[in-house]
Amino acid sequence: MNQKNNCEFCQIVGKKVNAKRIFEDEKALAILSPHPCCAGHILLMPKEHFSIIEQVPDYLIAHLSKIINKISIAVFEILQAKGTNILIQNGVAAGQKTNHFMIHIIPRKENDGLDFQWQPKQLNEEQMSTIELNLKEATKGIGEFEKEEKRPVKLDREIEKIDKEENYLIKQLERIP
Amino acid sequence: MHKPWLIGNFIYKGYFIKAMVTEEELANMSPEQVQELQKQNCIFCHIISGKVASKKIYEDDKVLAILDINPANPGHILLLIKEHYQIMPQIPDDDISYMFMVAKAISHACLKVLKAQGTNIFIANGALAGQKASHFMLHIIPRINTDGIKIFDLPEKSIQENILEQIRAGLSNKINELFGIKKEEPIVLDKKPEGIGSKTEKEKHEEKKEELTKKEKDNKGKKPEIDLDKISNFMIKNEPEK
Repeated sequence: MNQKNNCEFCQIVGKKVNAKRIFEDEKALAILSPHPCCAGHILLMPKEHFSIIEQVPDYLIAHLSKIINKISIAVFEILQAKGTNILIQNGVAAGQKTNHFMIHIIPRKENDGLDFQWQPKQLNEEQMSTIELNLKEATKGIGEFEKEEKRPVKLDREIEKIDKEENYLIKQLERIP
Repeated sequence: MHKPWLIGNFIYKGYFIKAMVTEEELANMSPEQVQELQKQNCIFCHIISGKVASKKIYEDDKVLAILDINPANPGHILLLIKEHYQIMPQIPDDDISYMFMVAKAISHACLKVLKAQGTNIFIANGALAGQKASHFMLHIIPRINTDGIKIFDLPEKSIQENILEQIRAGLSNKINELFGIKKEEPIVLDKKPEGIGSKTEKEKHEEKKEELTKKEKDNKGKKPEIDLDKISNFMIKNEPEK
């Protein structure tokens, strides 16, 4: 809870801090980054507080990725971007600066001063093979994804009410000799 | 004379993939045939079909994950979608979601097995964004604190408030339109809604002035009439509240 209270982005979700909101639904929020790396730098985040992608349930990731797709179409059309970069920084070692899990969507234009080209590292055959074997073993379990549990909303109460009324009626009936 | 026409040729990590098709042939092709041609010339489609060898990490009927042969970091994984798509907007929502869910699982595997301290999940969408092959893919790069990769630390720029607001309004409308939501823009308080106060203060002031001058002209030559009712009304209106 304490983490959540200190989180800048939870406060944005809770409307305690202002931000330029682009899209919002019950689970996700997209804003223009308060610390932009270019004009139109967008952050997409789940409303619930998660630190890293491993904590985010699969169904929520599926939901977020659908929004990413729509946002990147909008970015192409509205901002006349020539490309987009989508980046998740997962962990401090990966450049994550905030405690709230988020997805960066970065519109790209010519000469925008951004560069995501990496310097390839040379690995020998043996190193590659060990990585391959290790990862293969670890990814065997992939295939079953969490699905959202659908909770019946409000309907329960109405049914309860009816039950009580019915009981009352039945009781009334029983009283009649 | 037919000029040789290059389509779908690119260099991927030492492989030079090239297809020679004449201009005329290309013009006569249906979009499906062009797509088929692109597919034939796509190194990743060959990897998926098994014609080109690769180090496969994970495979199912929709996606394939392989090790990048020129990795940014040890364990750099490419997650490919089996169908040939060039960029993200072409891909159906369900397939994108599936890719991200698999990416999460693979990222988890990287943390567990490779003792990575973090991962970057990265998509380059379009040549200008650094996309090198015409096949859509998602990069998963395991990271450790001391690896010295700085490209994923985003720089900060200051951008003017009005430009940001313009971008926000444009994107917000478009995205809501794409989701089929009709959302009215919240009313900004310093602007009055149209129809009620559409005239500005200046205009109102000028109108009043005109009225007054008209009255003055009309009243010229007439003796001012004293209307007691008007005066009493005026007094009541301007009485200070207790």
